Amino acid sequence: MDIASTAPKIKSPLRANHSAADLFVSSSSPSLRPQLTRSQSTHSRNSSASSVNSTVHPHSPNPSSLRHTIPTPIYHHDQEADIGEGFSTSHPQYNHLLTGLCHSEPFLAPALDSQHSQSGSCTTASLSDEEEASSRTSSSDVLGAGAMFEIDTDITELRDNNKLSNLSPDILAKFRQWMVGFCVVNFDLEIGQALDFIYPPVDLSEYEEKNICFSAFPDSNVFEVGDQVYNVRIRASGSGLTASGPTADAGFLYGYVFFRQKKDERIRRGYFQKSLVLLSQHPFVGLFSRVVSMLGPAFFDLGQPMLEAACASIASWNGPLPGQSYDLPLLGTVLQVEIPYPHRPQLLETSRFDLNSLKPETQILASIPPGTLYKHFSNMLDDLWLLWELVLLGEPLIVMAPEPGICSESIVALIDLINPIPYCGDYRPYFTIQDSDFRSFITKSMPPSNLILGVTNPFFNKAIGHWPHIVRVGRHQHRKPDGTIIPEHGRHAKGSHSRPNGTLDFVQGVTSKRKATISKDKALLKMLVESRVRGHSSAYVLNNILRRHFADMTEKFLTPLNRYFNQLLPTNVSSSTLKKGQGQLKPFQSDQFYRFLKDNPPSLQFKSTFKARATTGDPVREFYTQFLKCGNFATWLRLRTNEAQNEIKHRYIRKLCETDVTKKIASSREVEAVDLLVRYQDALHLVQDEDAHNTTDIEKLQKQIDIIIRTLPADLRNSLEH
Amino acid sequence: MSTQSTDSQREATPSPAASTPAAPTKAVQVKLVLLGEAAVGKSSLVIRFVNRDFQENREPTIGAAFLTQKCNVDDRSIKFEIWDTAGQERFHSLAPMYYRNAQAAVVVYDVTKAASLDKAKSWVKELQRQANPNIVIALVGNKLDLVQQAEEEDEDAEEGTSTVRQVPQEEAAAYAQESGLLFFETSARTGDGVDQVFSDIAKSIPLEHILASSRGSRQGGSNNPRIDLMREGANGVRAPGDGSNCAC
Repeated sequence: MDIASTAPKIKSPLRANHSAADLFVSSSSPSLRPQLTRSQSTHSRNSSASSVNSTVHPHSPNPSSLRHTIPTPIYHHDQEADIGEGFSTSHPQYNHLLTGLCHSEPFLAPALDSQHSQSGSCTTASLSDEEEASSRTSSSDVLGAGAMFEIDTDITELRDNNKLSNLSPDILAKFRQWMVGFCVVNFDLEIGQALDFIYPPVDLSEYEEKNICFSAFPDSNVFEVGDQVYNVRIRASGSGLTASGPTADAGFLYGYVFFRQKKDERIRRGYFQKSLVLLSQHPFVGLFSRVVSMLGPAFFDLGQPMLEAACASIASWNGPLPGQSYDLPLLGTVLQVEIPYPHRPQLLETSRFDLNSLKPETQILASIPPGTLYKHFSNMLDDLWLLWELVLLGEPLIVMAPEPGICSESIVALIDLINPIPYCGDYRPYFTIQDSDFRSFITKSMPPSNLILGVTNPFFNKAIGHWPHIVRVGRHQHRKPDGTIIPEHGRHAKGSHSRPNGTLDFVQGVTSKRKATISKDKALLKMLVESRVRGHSSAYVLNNILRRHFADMTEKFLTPLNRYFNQLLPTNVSSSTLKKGQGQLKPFQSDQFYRFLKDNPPSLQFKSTFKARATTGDPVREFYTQFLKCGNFATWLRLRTNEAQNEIKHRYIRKLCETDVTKKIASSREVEAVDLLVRYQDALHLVQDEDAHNTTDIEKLQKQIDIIIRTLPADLRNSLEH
Repeated sequence: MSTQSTDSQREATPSPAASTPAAPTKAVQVKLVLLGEAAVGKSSLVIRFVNRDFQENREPTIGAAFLTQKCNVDDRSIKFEIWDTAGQERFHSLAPMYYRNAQAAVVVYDVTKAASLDKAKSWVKELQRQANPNIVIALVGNKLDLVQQAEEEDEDAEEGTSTVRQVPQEEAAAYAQESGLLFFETSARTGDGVDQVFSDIAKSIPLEHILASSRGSRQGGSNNPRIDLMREGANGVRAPGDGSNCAC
């Protein structure tokens, strides 16, 4: 096959004149090329595109019955599906499957391999499958132990649901404090991405399942043989498993993917392509990336018992509570894990780990993988200051990378740049063309603000050309034929390890319509470059220095805002301040803030060029004006307001508890005493409603109420008590 | 030896530094794995050791349970990190993960079941071939209470029931001797011999070796050139050695 025909051939989804025939593009190549197709209402489609005359099966029979008719394209979709709305893209990733497709030998596969129901999350075994399984023998090396045992084509297949251990409800509840479960997703030649099973079982809506499946595989040809760990953020509002509330996390699940692609002669297409996806409500990228990188290889080597063992272990974990440390046992290793406080960057200095002898394998900051920012941006450190501004101001960003791993970690690092400001927008560490939001995000018009996408598919090169800010990050990692990564320094100069076809090719850097306004820290950059040249420090130490710099920078930026905000707080709380829990917080007025800013400028270093460029002649004000207009400000203000109102409430309750009511009542009239009583009762209800575990305050308030009631005349007391 | 059962944990627990009074000497962590056929009493043995408790008809373990127990031997404090593996055959292939880097292994058989000794022997063989070369292995014949009961009832027990000893002590002891294993007979039900297993293991382990290899990782070398690079210096928020890293 010539190179030209392997080059990705993209059909723009934006083109209006799609017809059903578009889905059956016959390849110019003499060989077969699998086509992935999608429309909003179809589950997943895969056409081998061998013939324009292929028939569509509106109600597809069980694919397993068609196994021996290799060139027949099989469609799974609803009859109502509007094919005209779909679009197709040839998937560069699957070009190498050609060889597999051309094989004509009889193909043996367990019936379960692709059995897939539209709604089902789990597959069940059939009898014939069991028989078939027992008749075949082959062996595999096990975890380097040399132990051999007989297995079938794929030991990760779920043959019998009942063989998986059932977790009792209380055990499951403990497990679900950490995560939803593990999805095993297979790339099946005939039906595309398909969920094999979820353990422990959980009901997902069809579109959640679809998004998980589509996120579970690289969107472009990453490597021929190898493993890849990356993370995704999946829209999943219907499951009831996600965090709810007015946070950016509401309606999303986090997925941590271990993807394996290896040659396997026993599979018809010649390749085994499967992913293990850890689904969780928590953005613990550091912890869960580590968990799947431990469990993934073990699971694909040893099968389901490994998954059960891991889940049993996870179900024994306590927590997770913000700011706590845990020793978490998993598969023979104890992970020392620190859970972050919300809206606070996790840095090594504030952890229990020794900075100078950190073991990144077992000593883990849950929110962030070790080395991320420094590792991926080391060739473009200068750009980080501009990137900080772009993320801070909620600008739409697209990050292009050669691999999902680099892509997703880079995005996590970018979001972390502005910590402790919570990023207000939607971000997708790894976004594929098959995502259900694809068509709302990727349009010809300007992208919405507060959106950060990470992509690897070269299709995006053209589709997002009009985006104002594009980040190109990371270099393709060269791999040995067995899939292991060749380290940077040990790499041969010769081009034997060429880039796979269809991956992104670019020069790293940021293309942006914005000119940087904050000066880089030249001393820091010099130090980082020097220590890299000398090989003094581990990447995680340098990473920590870099992250800390930006955390400090964000704090410096916030200083005027925080100080102004503190002026809005009521200075002293009297017992009359609060009515029904509402604090007397003064409103944030931008004019007032700008005046305050003039007298209390931040200690940020603005570029001299920006000072000249600023239209108002006041670069500081201009920068903050931009911030006050963006979503991050609104999120920050809401967070601060909530905190402040809680604080006001606590101060008020404390005051009520400490007041000497006996003395107060002695000097007041009866009507005032009743008024006081009402206020205490309101406060009591407030605490009972919002802070029910605060028994000390509840008891104190109750005691005060009793005292007041006792001072009242008997007749009044009786009427109050009834 | 004294075990501190209050320190035991069935599961991982949060360990805020404030709630863990600093031990006078730092405990040496010892990874210990339990292996053996299903239903010989591995979990019961550990629960007896850690929780001083016995429970009839435990649920079979899935994968492996993890427990820790601190004990003091000869002025030295040891924290056992115990991986209590599942005996079921389908979990067999997972065992290498649990015995990898283990400093000690307890291979358990049932004195009333001859076949369980054969299984124990195959575990010993696997450990000697695959595990850490310095690993201390203890062979433990459990369910001694069943045999003692039967002996007290004086031959009344029927032939072939499980209450008859099937593994003579001398046979197992001889095997242990020639294979270089520690040997014990125990009853997790009564507690007989259980503490002895762990205290003898604790005494047999070359602690200096473990200390040397684990120092630096847990406490940090002070003359590390990396420190110079840290602009914020090594005097971070946390003072060195303030009992940071374990729940016990």
